[in-house]
Amino acid sequence: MPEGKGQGPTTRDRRALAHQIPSFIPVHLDTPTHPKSNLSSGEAGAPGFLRSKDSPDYALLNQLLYEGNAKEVERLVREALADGRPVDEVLNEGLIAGMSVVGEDFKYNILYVPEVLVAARAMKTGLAVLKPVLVASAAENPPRGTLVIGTVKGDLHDIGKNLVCMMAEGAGFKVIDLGVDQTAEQFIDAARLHKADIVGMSALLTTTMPYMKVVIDEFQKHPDLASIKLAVGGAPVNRMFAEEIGADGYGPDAPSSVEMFLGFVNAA
Amino acid sequence: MKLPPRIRIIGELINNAYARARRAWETRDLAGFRALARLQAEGGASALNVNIDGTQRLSVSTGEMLDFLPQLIPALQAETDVPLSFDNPNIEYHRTALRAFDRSRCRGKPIFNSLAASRQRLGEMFELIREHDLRCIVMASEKFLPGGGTGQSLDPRDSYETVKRFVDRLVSEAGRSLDDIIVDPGLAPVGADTYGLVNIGLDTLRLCAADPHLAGLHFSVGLSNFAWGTPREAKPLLERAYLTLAGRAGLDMALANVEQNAEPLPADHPLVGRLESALQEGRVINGESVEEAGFRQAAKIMEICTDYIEA
Repeated sequence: MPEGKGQGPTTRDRRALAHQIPSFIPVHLDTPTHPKSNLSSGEAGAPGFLRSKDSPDYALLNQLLYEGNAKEVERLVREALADGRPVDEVLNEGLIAGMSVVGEDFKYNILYVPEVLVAARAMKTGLAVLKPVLVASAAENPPRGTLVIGTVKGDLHDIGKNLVCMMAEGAGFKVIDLGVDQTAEQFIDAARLHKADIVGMSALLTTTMPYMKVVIDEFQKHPDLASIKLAVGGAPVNRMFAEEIGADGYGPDAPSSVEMFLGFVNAA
Repeated sequence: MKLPPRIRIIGELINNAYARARRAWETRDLAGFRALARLQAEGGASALNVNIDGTQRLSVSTGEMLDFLPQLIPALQAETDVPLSFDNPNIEYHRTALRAFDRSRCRGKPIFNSLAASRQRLGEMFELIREHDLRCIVMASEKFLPGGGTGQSLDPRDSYETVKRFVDRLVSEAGRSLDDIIVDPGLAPVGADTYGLVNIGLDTLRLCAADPHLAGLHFSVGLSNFAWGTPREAKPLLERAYLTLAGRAGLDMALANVEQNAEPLPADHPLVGRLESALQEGRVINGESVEEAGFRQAAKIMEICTDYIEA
């Protein structure tokens, strides 16, 4: 995109910000999606400090995830589990809270795209450690919701969609990524099969964008799919268009899309 | 010092992703469009891309585009004789633009941008290209599926097959010479490349360049894609380093912003080697996922950006 990052801070500014951590992180954690309980750990002291065994330093874990330090994230997640912390606590306060700061800072041009990817890698490394435990306790800890997502028929552009997938996963959603070039039928089949709460459609071209309406119209023909929220996004899409075609929501960028998804499932 | 090959630039400023173009579009300001044409012609563009499609900030309907082309094309031609490149996947856009286009005021063949496996009415596009004696851009990044249908190409051998198929049809059905055909091997944001598309594009370029039957083809990429999402200070250097690597593989054109000094970096510039090794990191090893390699590539790219901004 020729206009790219707009007025975002320079890397030098960002370095300066990073040195203010840990006080820096709780500021961003102050959003409704985060448990307030871990904010106090931000006062604990310099990075590297791990508090007593009955209170893991989730602020440090958040910070390491933010920096994309996959090895250390993995180590701290293992330690927290070994210390007997509940898996959903490690997931929510350690990983999801950290990734949501990443999303927030990406939205405000403090983080760049490659940094988001590196953080996503650290997130995935941590998730891989949690996964067996999560699977074992899946019945008690269902995901925040299930998102079926893909780019619509004729459209092969999926960078934005992929960012949404990573961030939605980071926010605790079960994400079914259908990939590119999906027909209305494919969206509907996947929504049924995976019992989707949300179906996300992406398009980068004005020529493929109208197909979103086709998908929405098809969903509306099936009463059993009526409770599924239909969201659209992608470069040429805007709110006006989303409303015109009867979408339930519009995501101008990846972080806003995930906020919208959270809004859907919290309201349900 | 070995000088890298020169890359000819197709100027991309007439595109609503640029604020200047968007402002001109919103008021249908022909003087604004003429200024963009002049600026790019004077900046050395070998063709001017004409894209008036919508963006995230702006809805544009096909009807609005078709309504404006009959005024826009003569206005651009009044400003410069640099060939125009008509950029839209819809054939009606090209028909309307060509009706308004005066070939006698243009110093070369205009460009049809672009052909791709997934385009509707490909046969009619070939016919239009033949009838108006156009050059054309062919996207190698989509493939024809065996049972009909199309898909994204995630293997350079598939992209290479797509190129050969288009070249055959353009020669036989549209009367093109290889010099008329510009292949876009595909270029993705290097810092968010979880499918390995940058390497796929470069490998496609190498496969085509090694095929004697394809000698004479031209190759172009959409350059501003490459550094998308990286710090603005690092973008021009990353793009220029890419041009050096791609130029070595056979690239001779790029859709780019002429204001950005879009010339290849000298081959011995340290950034060229660093980008090369970052892309090497993006290649899959030991049965890992492509995504994992893409993460590694992203990390290397960010290291490069940070080092160069601080230097």
